[in-house]
Amino acid sequence: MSVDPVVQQQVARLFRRAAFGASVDTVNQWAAQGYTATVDHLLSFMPAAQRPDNAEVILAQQMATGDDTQSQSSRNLRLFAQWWFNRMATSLYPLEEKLTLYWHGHFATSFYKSFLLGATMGQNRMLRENAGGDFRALCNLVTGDPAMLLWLDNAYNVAGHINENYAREFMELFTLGRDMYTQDDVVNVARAFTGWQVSNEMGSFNDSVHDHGMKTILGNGPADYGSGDVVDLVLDHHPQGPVAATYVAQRVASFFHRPNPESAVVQAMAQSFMGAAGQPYPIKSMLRTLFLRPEFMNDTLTGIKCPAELVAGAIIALNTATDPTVGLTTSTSTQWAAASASMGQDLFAPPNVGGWHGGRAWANTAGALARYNFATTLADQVANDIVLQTLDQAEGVPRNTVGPWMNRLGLLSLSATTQQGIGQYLNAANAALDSATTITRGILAILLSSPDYMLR
Amino acid sequence: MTGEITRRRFLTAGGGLAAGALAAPLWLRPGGLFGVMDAHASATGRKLLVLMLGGGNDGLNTVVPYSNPTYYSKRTADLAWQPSEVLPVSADLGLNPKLATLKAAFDRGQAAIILGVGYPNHDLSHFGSMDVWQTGSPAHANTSGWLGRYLDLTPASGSVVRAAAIGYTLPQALTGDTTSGVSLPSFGGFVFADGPDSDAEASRLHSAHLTCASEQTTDPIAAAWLASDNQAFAAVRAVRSLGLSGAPAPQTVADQVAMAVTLLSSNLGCDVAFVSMGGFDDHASEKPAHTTLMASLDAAVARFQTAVAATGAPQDYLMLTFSEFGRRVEENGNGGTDHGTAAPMFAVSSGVKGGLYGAQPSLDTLDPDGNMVSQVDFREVYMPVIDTWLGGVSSQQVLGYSSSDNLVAIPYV
Repeated sequence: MSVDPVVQQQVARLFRRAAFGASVDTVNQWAAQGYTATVDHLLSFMPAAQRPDNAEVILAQQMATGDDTQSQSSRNLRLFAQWWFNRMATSLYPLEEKLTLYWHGHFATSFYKSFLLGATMGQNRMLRENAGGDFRALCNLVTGDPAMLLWLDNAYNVAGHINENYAREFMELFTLGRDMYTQDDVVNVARAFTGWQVSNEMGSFNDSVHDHGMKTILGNGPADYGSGDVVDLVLDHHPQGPVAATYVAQRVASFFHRPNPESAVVQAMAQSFMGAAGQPYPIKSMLRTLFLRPEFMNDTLTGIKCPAELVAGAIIALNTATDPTVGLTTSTSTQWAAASASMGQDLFAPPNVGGWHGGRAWANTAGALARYNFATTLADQVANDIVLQTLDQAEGVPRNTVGPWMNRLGLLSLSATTQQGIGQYLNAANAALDSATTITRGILAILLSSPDYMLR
Repeated sequence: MTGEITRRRFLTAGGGLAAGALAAPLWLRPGGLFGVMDAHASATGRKLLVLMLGGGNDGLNTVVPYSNPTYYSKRTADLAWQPSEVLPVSADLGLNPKLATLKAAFDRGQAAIILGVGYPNHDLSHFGSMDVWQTGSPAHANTSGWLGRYLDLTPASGSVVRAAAIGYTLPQALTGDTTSGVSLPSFGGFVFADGPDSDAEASRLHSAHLTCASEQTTDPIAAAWLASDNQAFAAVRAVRSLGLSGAPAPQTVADQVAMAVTLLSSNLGCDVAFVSMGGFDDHASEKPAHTTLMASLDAAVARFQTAVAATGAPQDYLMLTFSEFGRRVEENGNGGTDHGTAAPMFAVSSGVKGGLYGAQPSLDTLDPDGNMVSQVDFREVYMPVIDTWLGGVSSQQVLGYSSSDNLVAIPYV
């Protein structure tokens, strides 16, 4: 099968950025279908509500033990994070998981304040079910989400005793960006957000503690605004125009494309995202616009894979995920979750409400060492039948396993320095009379930890 | 997994690997590249430990204006500390009851309290304000950190751990334009999982990896990645020379402070360390949470004093605290406080000129958002850290202020 090398590069990049990578064989199959067909394939997932999962199994187990101490909840949380890694690695709809990961960072909520596992799992499910849907609906769901209500204290925000926390972050981080609102707006949005409560890990609205006074928000009103009105005002009636569409597009592009994305790309995304007043803000349309932009397709800059991308991608490539529908037990390994945490991305425990900073921030020594250690550990753990199969493909010659490993990892080519590194290793390993499988695993370790694989 | 011997099991089984067949690499030879000989120290030989209080520390419940009726009229008894509870440092101000160690240091003249620190037109965003404090620029004129620029401007060969952050991430403050600090979560966790360089297979892999990572690129993010990858390997080897890989992982902020002092006092040429505490964003039910944090802070001060005393030169170690902002004067009705402005900083060392500096802001004459007006620009606290404490470069070069900013260093060192 001959594949246009330009399309091959584009499809490989698309799989790295819109999914968790793909083997060279998979890239070639989709490249033969065409780049646009691949984009539409990745976007063609139905809302997850129609595909129930077994996350509840874990919660049921926790309830059954009756142990809801913080330490047991924290242990169960790691199990849930492990479950998510396995789901990322086995889902037929990797873009849905990638988007869920994105929204987890966008609406960053940490477990380590409420210590409520059910609320944390519920938020993850809610984000997944709406990952590619309507951003307006997502804003409303997040506002009433119990994990968020507790995380940013909106559960305590009542008429006459306002709490600014959620109001400020809703505008600063979730919808508008800094300097696009005043302190008066924060106060009045907080008043409009009053009345939400949490009981039994469920959010509910209690009108009797909602502030029904008149409020002026972003130059609109005065009127008796409530939370749904705030979402509409922020999305549809900002005095400076489509500020929210542009802000969200900019953040989405920073994650899927590159830090400081090109203004033309952001504007085009905002155009396909922005709904008329009261109409949906379709997330998939915005993403499709991004994926079809030439700046995205032919990006000249690289980026550093975030830890979750790296971990999920590697376990996909090496077929080491476990079936997430099997359920978890307390003896289940949490090594994927732990590996990602040691690289700086502890799922359900973002550093703060701003989420993971991303981009260059992943470049630090603790993270670099953790990635190297993940690579060498994983290269040791890969099932022997995969190693032997790879050796077979190389006709028993360890040196020739470089190509099969590259295929699995989706590496279309190697930098000159990585080729040198492998050559150097082979010379030393052969001189030491290492076994064929040792050398084959060694090559995998080098590739998994190479800059070629770390970057996207 | 089948029973076939994997690479790692093969190594642990000993399997006749020719460990001595290769000449010892340079870094393993006595007096080699890292760790001992050429380690740089600051121009003055003094050391800085920065302790970040992340989330916006409530300055008014840290240094309590216990003689001020406005404090008690704007905060209920559920939040306010009573005059009988605080640890007085003046006729008007008292430390949080949990800060007993800090109080004792203050009484001995070994702690400076700088009051009312902030900057003009204070940003109430965590992220906007944290950027200001970590870059040292209220105008957001820098992307690099203020201590990273100190590293950039005082280049030193021979040390790969000139600055260290305890944790999994590197704070912006230690990220320079050309030089960055090292991040490490623990000594035991800062080792190669595939074995030390003395292990033959691990050594082959390490060498191969560094060859892969020797790529030259103009792509800025790729370059940053490659730099940190190379720096990680050098730092692991340098830290290994301390022989502390069996040390338990830090469990508390105090443990992290002790780890930081170990690095600062080692022969690695480490001038600057950074430890972060979180949890100060107390919008609801503040008092119990903040009290716990104050106890952790005091424990960190105590551990700092013990650790630096053991070095024999405690007067050369300075611990400086900061937070991105203080909190609103008025309680928010949930027993918490919303984002504010000015707050106190602490500088702890037997080498500081102890006492009170700056001025306590008025609780009655507030800015239009209901927040206190800063009395000291935070750069006036940073200035003597560069000019006097660490030396080797001027604070004007590091912070980039101009004469029109009218900054005057606070003379606590």
